[in-house]
Amino acid sequence: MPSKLSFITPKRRKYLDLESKILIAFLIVTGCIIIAFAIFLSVQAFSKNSNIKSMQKEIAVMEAEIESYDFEYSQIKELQLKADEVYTANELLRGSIRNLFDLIPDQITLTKSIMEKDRLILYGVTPSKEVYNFMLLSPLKSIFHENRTTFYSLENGWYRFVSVNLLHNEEGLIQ
Amino acid sequence: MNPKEVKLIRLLVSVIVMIVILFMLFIFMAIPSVNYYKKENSRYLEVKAKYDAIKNTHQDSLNRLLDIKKNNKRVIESFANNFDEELFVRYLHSKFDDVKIVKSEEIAEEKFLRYKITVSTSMQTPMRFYEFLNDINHYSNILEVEFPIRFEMIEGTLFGSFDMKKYHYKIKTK
Repeated sequence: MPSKLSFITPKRRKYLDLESKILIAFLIVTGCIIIAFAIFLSVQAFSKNSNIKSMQKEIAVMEAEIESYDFEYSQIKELQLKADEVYTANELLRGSIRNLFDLIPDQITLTKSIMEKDRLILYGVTPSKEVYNFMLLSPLKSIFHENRTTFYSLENGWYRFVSVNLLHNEEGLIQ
Repeated sequence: MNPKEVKLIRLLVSVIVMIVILFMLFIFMAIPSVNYYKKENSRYLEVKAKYDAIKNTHQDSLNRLLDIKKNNKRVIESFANNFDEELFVRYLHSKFDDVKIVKSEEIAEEKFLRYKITVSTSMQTPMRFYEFLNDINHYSNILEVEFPIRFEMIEGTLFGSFDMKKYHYKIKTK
């Protein structure tokens, strides 16, 4: 039987002591946290990047659509203005015709009228020059800048007349 | 050196090594990731602000277009409608007795003007022409009555003639 010099049984020397184990564990945990954090940020940045790309595509589409909407809008606006212009011209013309009808007194009979932009030519029959001068020429004078009338006597004592009335402004009769 | 001192020095060296490793990890992994994220995030915010602004403008433009389309539906249709000569003659017959129209060739050089129309009519009273002018703005085409307007009484019948312009336009899309 071999002689034993010690009362305790020798233990094998540990490769890593407790402090080293704690340090290594701490190193692994902290390293993992740093790596996870870096990966997390990279994934977030990648997601932002793909969002940016999709937004840029949508921006390009929306910009093209805005251009198309504005183009269509400007055309409709132009149509609206043109239609207003036409409708107003028709309304003003209606007013001018109405005024012409109101202008002719019962005693005077018109046989022909020509309305142009800047002139009104009336052909008709009047019982006397005075009736014409008082009842038709006076209102015509208040509208037109120049009035010229030619009378032709008829067998029954009445007069046939031709009245040429001119406007010198650009708006003309439709004013 | 006694074993305790050796242990302490070993521990110290281990801590320093650990700190160096962590520092390197931080420098070469965490900081570039943070910088990349910050850069992408600031670019994202910039693009997002532009995206939101354009989205608002897009919505405003669309609303503005829908509004004007809704308010001018009749005008748009009237401009786009083709001129139906037969229909127009029928319409004129509802106002006048005899009707004759002469339509010009299609005018291509002007933006809106498509035809010039000369209308010759006969009527009982000039008030019919007045009524015609009253209703023409409600016709299915955009028509403008023009000078010269002639009226002549021949053997108890009033003859009238006048010119008209027919405007035409179809909305184009880009």
